[in-house]
Amino acid sequence: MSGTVTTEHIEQLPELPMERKCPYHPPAGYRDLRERGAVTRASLYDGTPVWVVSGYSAVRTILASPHTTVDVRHPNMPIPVPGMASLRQSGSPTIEALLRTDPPEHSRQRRAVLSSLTYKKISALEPEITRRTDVYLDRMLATSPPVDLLDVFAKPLVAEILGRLLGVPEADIEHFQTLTYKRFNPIRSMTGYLIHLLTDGRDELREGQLRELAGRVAEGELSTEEAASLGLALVLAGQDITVNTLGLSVLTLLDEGTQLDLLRAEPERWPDAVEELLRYLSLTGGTVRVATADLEVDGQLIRAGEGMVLLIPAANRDADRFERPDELDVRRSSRGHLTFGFGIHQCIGQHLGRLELTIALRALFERIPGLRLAVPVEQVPVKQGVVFGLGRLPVRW
Amino acid sequence: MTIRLTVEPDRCLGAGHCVRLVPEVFDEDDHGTVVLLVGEPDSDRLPAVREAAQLCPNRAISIQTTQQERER
Ligand code: HEM
Ligand code: SF4
Repeated sequence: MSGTVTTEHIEQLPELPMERKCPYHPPAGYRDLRERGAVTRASLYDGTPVWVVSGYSAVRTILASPHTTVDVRHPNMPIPVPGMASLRQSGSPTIEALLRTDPPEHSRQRRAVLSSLTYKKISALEPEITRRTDVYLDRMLATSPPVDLLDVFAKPLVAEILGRLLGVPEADIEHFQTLTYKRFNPIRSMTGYLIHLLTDGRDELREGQLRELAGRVAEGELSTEEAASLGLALVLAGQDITVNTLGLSVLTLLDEGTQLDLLRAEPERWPDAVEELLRYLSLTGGTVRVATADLEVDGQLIRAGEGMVLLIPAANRDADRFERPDELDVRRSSRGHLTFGFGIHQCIGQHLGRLELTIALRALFERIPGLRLAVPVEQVPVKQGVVFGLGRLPVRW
Repeated sequence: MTIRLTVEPDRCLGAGHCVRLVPEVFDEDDHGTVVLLVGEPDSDRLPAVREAAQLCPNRAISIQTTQQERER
């Protein structure tokens, strides 16, 4: 890059991505970025200069702006971590559904999968999610500690609930769980399985989102591939982040005993506590856009065609929006946090995510009052990446 | 004071914040699209309705208020 003429001194720009040092807090460098400005410049790992947006109101404004694109094929679309570079070349329609699709196509796709995820449909799942949660807790309590809470509880629970929402046949739930957390070629295997369910396996489908998609295929509204890519978007977009938010919430609450005591005394606070944990932990990463018209945000002119990295975890810690932003306070109202995004791509699975977290955390701490870490907190393995998470969460009781 | 609400179903993404927060004023149909139950809610609903409009990710809810008499 030495021969490139730029007007910026790239070496002086802060570099992205940054890593979390402490599992509960966004990377420390995000604060320095916000101090430089809500909208400022940074360079990506490969040296590309980009806009980096860290103020609450600026992030919200950009997410709500119709003058942005999410198209990965745009040459200036920031690639926030090296692993995502392959997305641009793959040309695979699978990962592009919803999240990487602009209107008007986006609106059509969103309508095709919304019906099973509306607030009322999800609220009606409460008894079912509670029952499944209890089953996994019973199983866990029947084993001898220490156990990995992610392996025995969070992962299988989250995948089972999604599998049921999709209408995966009863006999296949375990297979679906295995595919969800498969390390090698997970996307290809899951895509193959979804296509099978939408074609030869159609008659085995239970009531749920896939059967509805299969119906749309039969009516010629969608191709099988489109239907599978929408199913895949639901499978890929939300499970890892829900599992990680659950795991980190457990770690945080075990560490912040007074907050947990408050919840034990007043369990009706759990929904607010989950909202606050979502704000505080803010695992959302990799939120990128390109401007399609000149935008003026927080006094900065972002020109059409320029790439932006939106740091939602930084926005959720903005003192202009949340008092004592770096403190976990389950009594506050954290609604309005940006952990589920904002604008037309705002998380379609948010009611499901919230309900799963609320039910699972409450049941876990109520049924196992003696729950504690099986290793010192600094020995809990972490995973840096687009979504920060835990490698394992060894617990005993 | 009168509150007049309008919703734009075409802008609604079915995010459901409105029905979650103020179910006596907003509902959603089977496709998740907002349905206005009460177009002119009581003024004590204003804070909740404002919060819903603020949370709506695609500005599908607008609020007009008319001050009929000065509040004390
Ligand atoms: C704690 C849990 C979750 C968090 C923090 C989360 C976060 C997010 C965020 C930030 C976005 C917007 C991304 C952007 O604007 O670029 C998003 C979109 C999305 N999420 Fe979630 N999510 C969660 C759970 C789920 C679940 C359980 C599902 C599955 C049902 C899901 C499915 C999706 C889909 C399909 C999109 C794309 C929506 C669109 O582009 O219109 N998410 N999520
Ligand atoms: S909050 Fe907005 S997008 Fe969500 S259901 Fe209500 S009107 Fe629709």
